[in-house]
Amino acid sequence: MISRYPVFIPKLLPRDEYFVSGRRSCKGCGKALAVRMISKMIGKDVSFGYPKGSSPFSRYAQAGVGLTWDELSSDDLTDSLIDRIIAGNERGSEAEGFAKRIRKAVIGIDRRIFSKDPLALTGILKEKKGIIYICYDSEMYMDELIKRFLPSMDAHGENHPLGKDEVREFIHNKNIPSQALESCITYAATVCPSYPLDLMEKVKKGLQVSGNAFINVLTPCPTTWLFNPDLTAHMGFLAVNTGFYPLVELESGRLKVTKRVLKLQPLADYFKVQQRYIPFPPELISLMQEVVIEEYEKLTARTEGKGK
Amino acid sequence: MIDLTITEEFHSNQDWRNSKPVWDKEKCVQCGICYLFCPDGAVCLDEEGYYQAELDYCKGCGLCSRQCPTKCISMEEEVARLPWQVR
Repeated sequence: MISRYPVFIPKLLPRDEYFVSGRRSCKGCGKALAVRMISKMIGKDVSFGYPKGSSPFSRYAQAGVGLTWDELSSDDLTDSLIDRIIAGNERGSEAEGFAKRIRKAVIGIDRRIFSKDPLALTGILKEKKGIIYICYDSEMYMDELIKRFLPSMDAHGENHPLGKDEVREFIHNKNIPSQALESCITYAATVCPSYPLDLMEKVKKGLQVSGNAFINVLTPCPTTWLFNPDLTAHMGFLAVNTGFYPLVELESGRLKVTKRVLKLQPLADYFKVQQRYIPFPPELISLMQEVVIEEYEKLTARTEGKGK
Repeated sequence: MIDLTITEEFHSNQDWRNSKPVWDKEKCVQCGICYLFCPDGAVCLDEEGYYQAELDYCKGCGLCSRQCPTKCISMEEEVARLPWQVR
């Protein structure tokens, strides 16, 4: 919508707020920012699903969103979802004025949900119901890495120093998951709320595509990452410009980097601002820097069609 | 804004805040980036077409002043209120 105009004017975006103000999210919450932008683009024809008890916004989750709201349990996410989608489509087709099918936006918790319940994603993707799966990525898996370096009562040398491939495992988590890539998904993308128009257009593309769509959102979190709440958008800029979280788009089998960074910033800039990375030794940061540059080069080579 | 249900308990977010955003109307170019980046949806238009904050919703995170391209938003410190002085 915005791409039709030559100028960047946020005023031209839809005025309606479906994500109500007056909720209990933290100061400068990245999740709230992302959900507000996403719900603006999705509009009214969609119902939200959210895993039970994990709503960060309020205890009264239903009141936080002006759309219809389903509370799901994370254990049988797939089964309950599919039943509800069928029910919703039937209800929509009965009502007048709903010629098209209702699409369903699902908001998963963290990327942790894949390690906890690996069938949650594959089950959804197997059913051809046209789901947009929007996944939060607030980097909670990095805590496993940070915990190794915290001072503890245990003996020294309990954990062996990390190798390159072990570090790569954590950085791989930031891309589109391999399950989604292998299942011939029609649309998949990674977005960040610091690039709002990029986010909105990718969500809109995911809505228009006939088929399943997967969107991964990096949501900076001031309370657990320990930074000043006014830096929320700045953290997203740093994550993209250091090459730590590349903005990628998979459309009809082709991978494309939407925000190409010509000269990567040093990764230490990203780690310096967050106080949770204080226990990291400098050797690990230099090792991660190597891995990030390698992965980024691999990604750009793949998008240009040189290698796989 | 459309009519929506808000939590029954909600009164205001004033006790979350240490400082409030103030717009300098001479520098403001009415681009709307502060409106786009507000996580609470507290920024709204006034009658003249300038932006302002609804102080019932604003939590004072300062994202708008950080993202403003002309630096027209400044965060003014508010007088600290004790819990029994809030409304």
